[in-house]
Amino acid sequence: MSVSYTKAAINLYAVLRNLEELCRLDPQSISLIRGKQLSIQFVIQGGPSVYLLFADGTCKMSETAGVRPIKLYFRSTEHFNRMIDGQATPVPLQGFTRLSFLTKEFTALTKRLEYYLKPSDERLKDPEYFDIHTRLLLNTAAFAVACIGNYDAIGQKIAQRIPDGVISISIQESGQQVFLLCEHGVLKAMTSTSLTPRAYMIFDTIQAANDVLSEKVNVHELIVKENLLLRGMLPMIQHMNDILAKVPAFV
Amino acid sequence: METYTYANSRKLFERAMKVIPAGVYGHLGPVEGSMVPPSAFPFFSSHAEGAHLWDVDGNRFIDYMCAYGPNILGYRDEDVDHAAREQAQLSDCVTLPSATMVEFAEQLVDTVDSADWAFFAKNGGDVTSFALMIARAATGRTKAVFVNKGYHGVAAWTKLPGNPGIAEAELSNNLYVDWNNYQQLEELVSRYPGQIACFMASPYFQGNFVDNELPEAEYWSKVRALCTKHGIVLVIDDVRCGFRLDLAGSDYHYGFKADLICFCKALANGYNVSALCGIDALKSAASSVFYTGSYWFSAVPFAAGIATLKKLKEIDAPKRLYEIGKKLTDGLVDVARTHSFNLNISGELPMWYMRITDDESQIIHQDWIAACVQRGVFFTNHHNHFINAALTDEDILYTLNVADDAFKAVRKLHPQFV
Repeated sequence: MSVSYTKAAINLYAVLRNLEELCRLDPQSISLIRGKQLSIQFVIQGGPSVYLLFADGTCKMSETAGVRPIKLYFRSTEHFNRMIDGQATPVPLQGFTRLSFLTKEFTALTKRLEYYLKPSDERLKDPEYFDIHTRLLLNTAAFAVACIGNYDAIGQKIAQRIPDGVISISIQESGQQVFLLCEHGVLKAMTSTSLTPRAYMIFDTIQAANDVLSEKVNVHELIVKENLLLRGMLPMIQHMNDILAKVPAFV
Repeated sequence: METYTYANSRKLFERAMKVIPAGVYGHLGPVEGSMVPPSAFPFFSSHAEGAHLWDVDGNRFIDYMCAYGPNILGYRDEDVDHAAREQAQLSDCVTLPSATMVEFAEQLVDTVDSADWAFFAKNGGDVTSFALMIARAATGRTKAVFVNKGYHGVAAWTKLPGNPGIAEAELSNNLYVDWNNYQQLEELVSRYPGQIACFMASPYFQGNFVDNELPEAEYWSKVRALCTKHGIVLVIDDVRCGFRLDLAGSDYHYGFKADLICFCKALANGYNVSALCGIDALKSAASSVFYTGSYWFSAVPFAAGIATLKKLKEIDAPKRLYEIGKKLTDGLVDVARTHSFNLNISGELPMWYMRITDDESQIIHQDWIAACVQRGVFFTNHHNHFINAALTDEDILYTLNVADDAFKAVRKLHPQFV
């Protein structure tokens, strides 16, 4: 797959997916979707496709269609990526009567997402903001790893080396846990699973997780001090980290 | 049993982190996967003797990593150290090489079955890289075949796509086969006619996180015949187990003859020298490749190497290491069984690999290793271990007592597995 495809997949499956979590945690975002029953389909020519379902005050990303769809078409993966960067607009194909949701609530939601994903030093001092920001950061990283492992040429080679099974990545302090399932070199990120992990990457605090994900700290130091505890089948984590190192090139 | 603490190690590591990348880099470091959890392990040693090392907190360990291989006779072996001291009184790193280099080469050629000549360097990576270049120089071909997950070193060509710092172009001549899969090798040779310079592999599969695997019957004889038929240089990476299985080389041990064989680790009992030995037909190609380093002619390690080889022969080291390895591993398996755990031993006993097979994540194994270390037996989690000739029955008995106590501790942590 092209770099543009991988980037589009990350923008869709890793960045936009954060709306699920945002609409669970952020009161402003929750209020924006309260009572809304509709879905947005993202159709990217030559790229991935997915639905965002808004129902009963929740947001969920889905592979299957939802009710009262707004269909947004993008001419190419580049077009979609430019939209995410705020430099292009989508082409609506369906749901014209619901476009006001797109221009009002959905735009406000994405701005809210940007607010949490692009922090200022000042905002990071607020513990609640810091918590949500870190949650989204961890989710983005896990889902981006899956996209890079599945679509990027080098990422695919690395993913082939990850032993089969589930890696658990968690923050002890907040209880947040994300999972990466690897089966024959194909990766799937998840926020819950019934499978028993084979490898664990455990941050003791939100601060430790943020420091690593924001590349503010020497990860080796955290491992030795056991602020970041690695257990189990470590090759799974070591290879995953080679993919994780490629995330900043795409996000 | 009381468990060790490591306050000084940790303080020193914090200092190290400020001025050394990763604090302790490479496989001796606490973040490379063998020391999990790091708090169970010491990071710095103060001294060592025989089969033991002491850390900077004064804790004593029976050392089953043997400096990751070099310690084969025991730390500070008096005969080897005496030879080294005597040479140091004369010279070490000088404009002209010393006569000890010639003597060491003669000793190796007399000892290693396939060797007609010897070339010296400093690390395993030096000689495996040199072997690759010689094979290319001799054949005029560029491609090389390696074993999947078979580790050969730290040079760029030994890495994998996506590893930090590696350009794909550096790996573009690498081909891979699975261990013990002769058919795959045969297919590669057919697919790349006249393009493969060498097949390089360790004499048996020494993977990490998985059981080690010995060569299947006739594997090496078939590989040897295939390489000979197609003019492919057969390189044996004996860096890790050289002199532990057979002083004549691990190829001799398994009944075949390598074209090039790489030695390091046990070659001089900790003095830094490595050697590439080869057959006459490759001597000219070896001469044609310009290859050297700043300290590669140092005389002290050569003197230590000569003394090491002499002593290894005197004590019939491979036989002794096997016997110690057998006594130790049989004992460990028995101790595990009494606690209802299955400890699987694989590879060759002078550098055995062990793995508790009762959980897929190997967390039980990690917890048991950690408990052993905290009680004075230095194992690591996911690497083969090494036997040295200085180990005594008393050391083994102590190890088994520690293993027993460690299993008790693990049983408390994981009651669901018993």
